[in-house]
Amino acid sequence: MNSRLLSLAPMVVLFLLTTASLYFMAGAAQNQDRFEERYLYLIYFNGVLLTLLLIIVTWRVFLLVRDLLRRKTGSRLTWRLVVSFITVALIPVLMVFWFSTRFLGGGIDNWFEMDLGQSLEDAMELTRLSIDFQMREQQLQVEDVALAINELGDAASDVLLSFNLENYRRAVGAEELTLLGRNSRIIATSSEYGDLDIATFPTEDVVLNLAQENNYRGLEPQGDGSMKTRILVRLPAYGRLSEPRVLVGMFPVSNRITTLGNQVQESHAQLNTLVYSRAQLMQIFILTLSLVLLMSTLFAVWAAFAVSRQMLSPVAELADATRAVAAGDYQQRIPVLQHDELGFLVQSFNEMTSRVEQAQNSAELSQRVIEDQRSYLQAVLSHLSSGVLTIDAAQNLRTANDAANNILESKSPLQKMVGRPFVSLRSNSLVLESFIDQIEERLQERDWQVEIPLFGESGRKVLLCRAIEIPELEDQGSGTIIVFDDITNMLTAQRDAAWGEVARRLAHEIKNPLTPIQLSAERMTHKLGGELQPTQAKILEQSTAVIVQQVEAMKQMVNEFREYASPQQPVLELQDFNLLVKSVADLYQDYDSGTIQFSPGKNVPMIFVDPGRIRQVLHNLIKNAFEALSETSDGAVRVTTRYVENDQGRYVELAVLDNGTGIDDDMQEKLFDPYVTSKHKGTGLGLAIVKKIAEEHSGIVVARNRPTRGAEILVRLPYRKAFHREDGVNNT
Amino acid sequence: MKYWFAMLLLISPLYAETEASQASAYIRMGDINSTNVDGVYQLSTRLDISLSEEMQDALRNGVRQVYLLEVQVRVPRFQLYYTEAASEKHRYELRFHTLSRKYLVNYLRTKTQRSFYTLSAALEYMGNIESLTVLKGRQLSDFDNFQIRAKFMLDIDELPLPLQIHSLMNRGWRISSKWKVIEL
Repeated sequence: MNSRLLSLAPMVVLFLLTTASLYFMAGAAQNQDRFEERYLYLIYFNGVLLTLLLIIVTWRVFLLVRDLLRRKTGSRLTWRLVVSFITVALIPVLMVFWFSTRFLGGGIDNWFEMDLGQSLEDAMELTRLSIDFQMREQQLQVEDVALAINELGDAASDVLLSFNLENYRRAVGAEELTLLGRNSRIIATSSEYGDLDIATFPTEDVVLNLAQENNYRGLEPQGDGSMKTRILVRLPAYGRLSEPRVLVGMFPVSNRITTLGNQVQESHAQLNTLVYSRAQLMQIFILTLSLVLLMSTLFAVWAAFAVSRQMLSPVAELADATRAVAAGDYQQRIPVLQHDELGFLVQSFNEMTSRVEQAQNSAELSQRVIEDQRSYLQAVLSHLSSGVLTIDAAQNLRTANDAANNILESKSPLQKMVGRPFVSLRSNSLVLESFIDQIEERLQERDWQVEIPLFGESGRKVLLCRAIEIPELEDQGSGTIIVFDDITNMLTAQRDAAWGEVARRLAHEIKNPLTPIQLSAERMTHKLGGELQPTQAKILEQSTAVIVQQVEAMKQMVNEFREYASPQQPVLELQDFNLLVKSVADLYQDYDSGTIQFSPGKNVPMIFVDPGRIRQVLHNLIKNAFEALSETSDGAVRVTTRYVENDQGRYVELAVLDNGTGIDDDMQEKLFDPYVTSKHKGTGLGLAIVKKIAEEHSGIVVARNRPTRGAEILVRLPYRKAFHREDGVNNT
Repeated sequence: MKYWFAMLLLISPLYAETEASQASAYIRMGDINSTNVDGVYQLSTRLDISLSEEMQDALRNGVRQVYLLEVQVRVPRFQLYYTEAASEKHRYELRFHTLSRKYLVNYLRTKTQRSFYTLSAALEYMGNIESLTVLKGRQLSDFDNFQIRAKFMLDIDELPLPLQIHSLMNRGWRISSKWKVIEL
């Protein structure tokens, strides 16, 4: 069954119960017997129903008021409907009530104004007169008997009196004849039934009545429905000593008169009771009517609630669903239960939400595709070994990938700084600062490519940086995409490969002929030494010695060059840097060209270096310094170490200072290139090898003139935690 | 139930209390004397009965009034709590006989009826309870301890229905003596 219809079941049941109860009440009011029996119960029952209705309606009204205060959907419309229903229902009911009460009041009054009452009064009076007439005769008879008893004299015995009373009783047709003395003392009595009835004794008010008059006659209804007449006659005083005597006679009233009298009495009592209770009767009728009015009104209110709920529930559902749709829930569907205009509205709403949902789904799908693409792009970018940055037209960072973070050694991820001006990211790392400094001016250009040398925490590195302008998009504007790669290793490898090739060729082209030259020179000395003049032999020996010496020198040069050119992987060990430096510096304590002084820095940590290669660096640098002091009388070489930890990174710095002639300006640029030297002796590879070894250790070499005199060469070797954590592990 | 319904009717605008006219109605019960002869109790007491003008008017208009003498036997259960073990009702009918112009008092149990010219005489007669045998045939010896009490009141249920409804709204009609414990 429909749940809405089912919800109306209690109301229908209560309505049927009330209607039946009121019907019986109306029926009971019309029928006196049923009226008597059921009316009170019906009133109680209706009272219960009324209370139930009141509770229900009060609860409904309470809920409605609460909904109104909460501004719940449909509550105002329900309120209007309920008020309309009550108005529509109450006006006719009140009119019926008013007319009914007027009709009842006037009608009942008219009914009781009939002559029935007077007729009954007349009948009563007639019966009373009839009985009174009978009683008068009986009184005369009793008076006669009283005279006769009086004539018997005061001295008559009780037996005689009783005997005579029996005769008199029979003669007058009385049921009882009793002679009473003072204080109702029985002097003599005669009864038709033998025993004296207690009712024979007159009541006090009768005795009182007798005291005022000499006789009394009265009708006395009996408990069994019969009637008797009582006649009292005072006997004349007889002599001085005689006590006052009263003759009491009880006479039956004929059955016919008793029946008629009882009927008249009963009808009179009933009518009088009815007339008397007409005001109360009116109250009952008005009470019944009021109950009907009250219940009708309450039912109207309840029905108004039920109907309004029935009517407005689709509207409320629509409103709730609309709110849900507005909040983004497009799956709202309302069941179409009615096939009227509201049903059509609900159906249209369902179709609309269905279409909106489809559109929303499509949009979500597109969004998901875009998101997927974005994710894919992010994944590609994050897995790229090249650093990628995009900068919008306002020079703000838009995207950055993980490789960019790594290459630029950013302290905090660049992804978190999206939206900030690109140039403001300088403070993030030394590399980034240098990187921004070198490309800042180029950002205004459209497409460019440049190699950028940098020195960061992990040492020197070279980036190949390319920038391409992004075409202007609809909502994001134009921008620049910067892609950069750390080509340090590639450059090193290329150079190593080039030099390796040169070395191979030199070894092949130069070294190979040297041995035959040397052997030929030595053979020439050996073969010709004995045959020549001593002077000539000396010349030959000197010449061949020069040849051999130069050949050795060339061999050494080729070997050094090959050593320089051949790629070597440093074997890193944890070393006390100061100790390492000292061990080499000590070897030059007795050098002729000048003095050497080593100033070890404080807090120089143990670092990972290839000790053999670093010794090579030290030898080269110290030798180089001493060679620069050849023209100086007070030549002094100073070697220092220090540990530097600042915003630009952490490194160990080795400085070799001299007070020689310094570096020429034209040499400054190519000082570390191979075969560049200002000295007469030397291969020109010393500083090149220093640079190479420094770079193998991810370090840099800087050469500059001192402010006062001489030059200083600084070797900065990065202090890398990774090596120190992994104790002794080669982790280049 | 009646009181509850009376409460309910208080909300009705049709209801109007006529308290003033009911002010003089009361029943007062004097001390009860009892005798117990072989387990048969006989009570004697005097009742002071006064009817309001409205009740007298109703009586003269043929409305019969039945009065109840209710006698209860109660057994103590707890400290102050009693349960009713037995009860008995003696009915007295008071009505006005228009034909004879007399007030009739009928003890309905024995149908003994006396008639009086005045209401006061009738009430005097009705209120004079002499050696009334009560609880005849009840096995009161079954109870170790018991209490007998009595009350005299107008039986509303015996009134005609309109007056019953009226009496629900009108306390003046609900006259009753207080319970009187019979000294055994």
